[in-house]
Amino acid sequence: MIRRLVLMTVLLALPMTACSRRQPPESPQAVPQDTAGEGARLAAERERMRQDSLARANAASDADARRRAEEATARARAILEERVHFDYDEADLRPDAAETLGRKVPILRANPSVRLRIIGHTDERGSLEYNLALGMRRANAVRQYLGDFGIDPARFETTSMGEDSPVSGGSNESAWAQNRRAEFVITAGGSPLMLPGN
Amino acid sequence: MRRSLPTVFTLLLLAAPATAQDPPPGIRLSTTYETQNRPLLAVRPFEGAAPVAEAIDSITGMVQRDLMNSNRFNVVEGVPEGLRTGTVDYRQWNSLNVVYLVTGEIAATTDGYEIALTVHDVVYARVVHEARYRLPPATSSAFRMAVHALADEVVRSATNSPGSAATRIVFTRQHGDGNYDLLIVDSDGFGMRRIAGFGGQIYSPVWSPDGRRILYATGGDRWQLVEREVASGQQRTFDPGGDMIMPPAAYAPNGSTIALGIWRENGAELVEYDISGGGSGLRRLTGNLNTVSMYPSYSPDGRRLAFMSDRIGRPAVYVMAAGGGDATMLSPFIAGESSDYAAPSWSPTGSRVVFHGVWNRAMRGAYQIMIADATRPGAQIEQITSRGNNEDPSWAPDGRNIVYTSVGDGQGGLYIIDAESKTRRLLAQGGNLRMAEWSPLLLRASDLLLRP
Repeated sequence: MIRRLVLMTVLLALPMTACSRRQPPESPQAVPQDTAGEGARLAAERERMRQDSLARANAASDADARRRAEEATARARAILEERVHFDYDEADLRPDAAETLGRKVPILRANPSVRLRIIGHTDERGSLEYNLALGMRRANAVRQYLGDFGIDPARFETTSMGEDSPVSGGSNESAWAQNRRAEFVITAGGSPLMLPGN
Repeated sequence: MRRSLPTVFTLLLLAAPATAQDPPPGIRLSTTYETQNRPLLAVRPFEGAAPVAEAIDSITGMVQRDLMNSNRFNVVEGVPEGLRTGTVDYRQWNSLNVVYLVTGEIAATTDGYEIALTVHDVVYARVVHEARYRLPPATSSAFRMAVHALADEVVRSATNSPGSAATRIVFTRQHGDGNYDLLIVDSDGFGMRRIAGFGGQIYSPVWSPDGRRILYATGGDRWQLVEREVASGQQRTFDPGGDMIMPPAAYAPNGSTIALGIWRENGAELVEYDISGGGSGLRRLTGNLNTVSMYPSYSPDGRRLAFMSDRIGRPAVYVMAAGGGDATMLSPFIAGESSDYAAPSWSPTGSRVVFHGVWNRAMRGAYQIMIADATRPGAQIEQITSRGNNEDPSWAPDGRNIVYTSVGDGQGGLYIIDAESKTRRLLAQGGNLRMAEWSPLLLRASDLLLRP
């Protein structure tokens, strides 16, 4: 945040002397011997340079604002889409999952039009049908947890893919651990996103 | 579950000693192959003129195989030369310890065949069944099912119990990318064909009570139920509401309502849903507060429902009245064990309920098939498999044979096991074949009877 402020200040200061909100310094007085036309031409030239500087400064700060907005949206999106993982046969939230979900809360508060689909997944062990239910239990555990922070449950749609959409195709504990998860998809209000505190 | 054979083998090596882990009291391990009490049965090659010779071979062979598959008889493989033709000599057959004898005569007709079928009780030296039937031509798609119906008639007249040859099994085939096909196969493993594919999940096909329709769930943005008429391919879809369907559904014996699990808010409840268009809508059968209830299976009289619920914190099988109410636990309850029992299937002929499960959740890669008696909840249940992972059992209409998915004990695939003798045969090979359901009888010999 501080770094951003410093950056902003530097960027604003950069358009040299022709800051968009300040008058350019007076140019030196014309030599009394110049003809009136030469003076007018020089004045026009100075005015044109002044306008050019103004335009460049405006464009730079617009581009800068756009870039900042895109960075904020990307950063907020990454936090909203970050997955959480579960223990074998469990829909309870582990501490690491709770921490990840906690990071989503301020972003959800700062962006009240955002809606998410929460998709529960399981590893391949257990019956297909019960894994559909287990995935749903996981998605709903996430929704309930976010609801405890005051986020309206109506902003979330929960669904389950059971064991049918693994991220890792192995049949070992490492693959299974990756597959036991809830995923998040932004279904509305995702662009732009505000970071909390801005 | 998706599983490669070497991995399951490794799992079993690491997790289990050479002998199967002893089950706790409440579960009786009953996997021994027993055939001593099966009566001997011989099928004398059917007789007929030369033009029907090929059909005779085919029909005789099919009937023999069906009778073997019924698991109720020891079928004699070869018939001695002197006994192949002519009048039946009961004393000679008796001296071979044959109890039942099947004979037949086949003649060609303008639209197929006529068969005179006779079933003899050798011990009592009398005919127990004798009738004439028409069969379609061997080139007809209806031929095999008609012959199967005759084999079922032999079973019925010899044992007074239904056969299960004139049936099909529906199942899904799981591809690695989350796509599924829907397939059916005849009870003897012939005629396997794909009846639907879908760019996504197909779960839990079940047969209508008249055997004409198959109901299954399809995944996607929103899960739906699809009911497909097998003969015509026509289908209709249902959306019973709620957040998500929790398959499988089960037809009530009247065929106009189904029971199924539906996820609503924080849990899944069992509901009864009217699919007849009679307008009675949706009726809740269980609660759903932070629990999952699903996997319904009706008793043959439609009065009771077996189902799975995790209301005690882990999946278990229960029985309750079909309209809802108090539920009694049918799967074993062993204090301190984190067990997992699910997928009940109620026998079409009585009160036995087959399901899969493990008494210790850490063994979850190795479900076994278990049978309980719904009239005796809490009594010791029978475990009929012990190797590999065995899931999703479904009864044949004979109330005796069970189709299920097995991996890790030989080839992976759909197997049929006889609940009495524990004889096992491979129906369809492939570790990705899942959720098999056995049809009701699709044809009866009485449908083929020739009136005198």
